[in-house]
Amino acid sequence: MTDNLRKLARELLESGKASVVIGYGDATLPGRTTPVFITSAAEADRLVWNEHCLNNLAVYLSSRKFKTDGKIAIVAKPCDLRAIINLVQENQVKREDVIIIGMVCSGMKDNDSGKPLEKCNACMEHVPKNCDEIIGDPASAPKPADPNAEFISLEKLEAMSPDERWAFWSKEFSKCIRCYACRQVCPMCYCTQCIAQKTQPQWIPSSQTPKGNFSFGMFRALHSAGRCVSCGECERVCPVGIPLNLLTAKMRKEIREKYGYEAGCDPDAPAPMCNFKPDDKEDFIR
Amino acid sequence: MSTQTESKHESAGAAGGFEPKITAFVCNWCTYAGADLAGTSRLKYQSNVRVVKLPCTGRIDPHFIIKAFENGADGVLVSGCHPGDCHYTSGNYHARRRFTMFRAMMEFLGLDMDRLQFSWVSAAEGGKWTKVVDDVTNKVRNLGPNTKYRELCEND
Ligand code: SF4
Ligand code: SF4
Repeated sequence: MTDNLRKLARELLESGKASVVIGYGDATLPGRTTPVFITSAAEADRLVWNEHCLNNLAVYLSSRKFKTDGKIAIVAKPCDLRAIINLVQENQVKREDVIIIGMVCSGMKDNDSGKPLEKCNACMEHVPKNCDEIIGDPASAPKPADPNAEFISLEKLEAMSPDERWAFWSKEFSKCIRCYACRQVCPMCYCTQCIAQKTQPQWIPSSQTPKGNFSFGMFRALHSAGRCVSCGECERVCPVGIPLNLLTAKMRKEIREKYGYEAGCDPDAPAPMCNFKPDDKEDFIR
Repeated sequence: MSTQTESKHESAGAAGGFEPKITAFVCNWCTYAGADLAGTSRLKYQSNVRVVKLPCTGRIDPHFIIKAFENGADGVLVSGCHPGDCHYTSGNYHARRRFTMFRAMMEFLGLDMDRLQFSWVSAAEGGKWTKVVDDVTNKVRNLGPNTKYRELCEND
């Protein structure tokens, strides 16, 4: 797949169809990758594809983090591809400005443990959709997992009492050092000024206190409701190991159950939190 | 949760028992007018509720609710126009989705859901307003002080 990817990148850059190819290259540590920005055909051989291509590169498309004349070609695993589609839906990037190179993906491995990522075990989509180019053989892809597999991790918490849940999250959030890595790595967190850093008025206390951490952790996940594509990057980058995927998975579950919506799957679908139906069901308003 | 904070924060009621503080976020056009009607009709209801008027339930950001809890509310009530009656056509429909998600999140984090309640009260429903306020107040009084939030905010 790496050879095909390099060949495609060379073609795109030589023909001028793309001015940059965002992909993965070898990192300094063996067995790891790092995002690379390839701007000339001669450099195309720096691109690699293996089971350590962890980063969600869609983050470089949002919030004008990256500027170029001409089109951006971007290497995307199916999960990252959903993030790109969601950005298109939210008018953060024009679909015609990107060339999506979708990778047939049989799963990524954790850098340290070498084990398959949890999200890959629950992956419903090993073959990319909505892309311009496909690298890899769709027939070789693993079978999609059960759609509810990603929610199994929620069951333990959902079975707890409210007091136990509160104790669980108080303990987890108390570890937060407010580095905002979870926010920076998220393609959907593209606000030029984050509510977590507003001071007048200050909605979320910015110091590293139980109150501020609780509020930040909760709102980061709430703002991702209906938009999170479960790429799992927030939890992967959290330096203190807070299980952030539980919060985003909870929101994904609610959105799916209540509004039958999957983020990033259909570029033309109306976003669930900006739309409504007069007969939306709820069971808590009297 | 520990009990030593309870006595410190407890506000004494007439009989010396715990009296909860309830913050109510209401919309201007329906629930506020409904509460007004309850007043002009001289209907009685418990005085634990502090009403904050906003133009529309669509203007009620979950941040307001969290701030109320952080600043000592034992319970929060959100109330606005019935579906179909929004002065701005669709504000309450948007609010309904937003609060569906917010409520699910707070429940998942472990808040006692009797502390966070929602109602539709129209301008003609002064009687319903008194019932809602009484019911919310009783439920929160039963739960006692909001120790979870108080402990969270203690060291700030
Ligand atoms: S979740 Fe699916 S698409 Fe994403 S890295 Fe894992 S296997 Fe690949
Ligand atoms: S990455 Fe982890 S420690 Fe850093 S702000 Fe996010 S939750 Fe807190």
